[in-house]
Amino acid sequence: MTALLELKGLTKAFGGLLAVDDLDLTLEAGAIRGLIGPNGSGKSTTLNLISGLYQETSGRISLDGEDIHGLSPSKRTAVGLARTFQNIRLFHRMTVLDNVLVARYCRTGAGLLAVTLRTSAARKEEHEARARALEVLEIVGLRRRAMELPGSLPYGQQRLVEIARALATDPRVLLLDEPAAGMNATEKVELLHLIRRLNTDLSLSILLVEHDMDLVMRSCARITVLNFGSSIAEGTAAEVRCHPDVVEAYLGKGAEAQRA
Amino acid sequence: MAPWLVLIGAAILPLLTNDRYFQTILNMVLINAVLTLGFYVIFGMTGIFSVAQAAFWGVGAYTSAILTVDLGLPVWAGFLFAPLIAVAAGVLLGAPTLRLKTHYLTMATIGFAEVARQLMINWDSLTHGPTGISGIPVPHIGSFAFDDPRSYYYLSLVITVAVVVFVLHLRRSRLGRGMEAIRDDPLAAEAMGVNLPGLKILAFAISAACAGLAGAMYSHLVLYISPDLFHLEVAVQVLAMLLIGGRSSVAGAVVGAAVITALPEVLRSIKDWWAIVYALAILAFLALLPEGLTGLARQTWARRFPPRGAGGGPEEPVAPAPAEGTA
Repeated sequence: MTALLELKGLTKAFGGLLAVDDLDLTLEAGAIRGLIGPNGSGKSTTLNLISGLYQETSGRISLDGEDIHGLSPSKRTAVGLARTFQNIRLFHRMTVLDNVLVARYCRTGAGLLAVTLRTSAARKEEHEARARALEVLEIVGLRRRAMELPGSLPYGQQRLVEIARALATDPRVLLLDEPAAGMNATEKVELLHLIRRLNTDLSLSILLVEHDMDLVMRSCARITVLNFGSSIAEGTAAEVRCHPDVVEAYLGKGAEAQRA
Repeated sequence: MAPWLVLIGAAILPLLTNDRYFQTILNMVLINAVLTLGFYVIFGMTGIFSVAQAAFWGVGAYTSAILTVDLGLPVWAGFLFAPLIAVAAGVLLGAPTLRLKTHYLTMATIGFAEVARQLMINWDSLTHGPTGISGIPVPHIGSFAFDDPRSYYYLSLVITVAVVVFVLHLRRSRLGRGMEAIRDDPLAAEAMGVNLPGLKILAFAISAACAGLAGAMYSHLVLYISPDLFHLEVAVQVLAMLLIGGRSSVAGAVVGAAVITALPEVLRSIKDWWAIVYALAILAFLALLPEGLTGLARQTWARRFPPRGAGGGPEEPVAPAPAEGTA
């Protein structure tokens, strides 16, 4: 498989703190890669670097071989990177449908004049955007709630709106930042199925940052484990689970000995 | 249906009386509506609390007055250039302040408004200084002159309806949704591919264009302008109009303009207390009715005629937009 998203020696320093330290990570086309690690290990910072919300201190991020250094967050969305947020960041005074429609911005082009005169091209584009937005809401199972405000939905469904919004940008790579946080057991199972469907049916490559081990283990073929901003282990679910450094990072030193 | 009824009502209104003062007030309602629609785009939609609306209004009024009085251009040229020059001023304010957020940006707009007013007062050779500009001509079509407030009102009405339609179209478009996304969460908007700097400047430009147009409408109605008209107080008034009318809808801007323009005339007897009533009204609306009069009307309507299958929301999202009253 070819590398779609590639991080090379990625480093981010906040003052003296290295939040991400010389990280190498590859997301192959069509893969689901898990990114796990204890709190403060640099997972979210990595995601913010990839989506352009932070500037890397050094290192290189490339998408499909192209260096995306210096591209603004909105440009990165246009070239095919989409993300969700760990702390839900929906547009709270806009309907669910409008939230998703916002994400069509970079795939549409009507200018002020076309919008003012409602030209046939602008109307057609608007119509298609609407159809696509309803389509992605259908995928996450929220089409029926399209006209509601996001705040009126339960927490788990708000996370699904976030995913729908990201999907509406027509991404190649989907970055999911703890999508299962705040979900109950049933919702987590549905989320797992959704992630698999996005991967197989829409052939999306997915980078999944998640705290829920079970979800990561069941959805990701390969997993990278971060601690203190660096990768301490990489491999299949079974491999990283038994990796002594991983056990130590999560349970503390000596845990291995006690378990034995 | 409802928009047409409102329009017919608006067309009949000045025929009800021959009182020129009343008709002038009607004109002021429309001028304030256009001014407030501009503020709706920058504040209600984009979430930028700009105080520059008063300055743009002044720029428009002065542009039109100078072009027609000093340069002898036709009045229609004034109506054309007033919004254009105001847009230039809007971009001049919007572009360098792009990185500013929340109240820092508001401070910048206050500074801009004050600089504009000082220019009006002190740039004598251009603005005629504190004495202002008088003898501003009225618009003509052929031999027909819009020289009384009643005929002028219909000109104002045509312009206002055009601006209302424009803002409605903007709002239900990719650009309008982008602006609303910036208002709700600029960071998420950018991460979803919205062109943040471009839309912020566009919002400034549109708000300035509306204010500039309102300025030209004012100049050629009142036929005399001076710097003290374009005080920061105007910006507060515009804020009151939008908040009391309802900050989330186009209708709110128009209703608010009507109420705030007409109310001082109705409440003449308590003129000395007016500022206090005003301030209390803003506070009361902020605390009790954040969606203003139009929000209240919408709520009452929804309670009286609940949508079918209430509670679960509509089964099939066929409606193009959430319910919104239009002017």
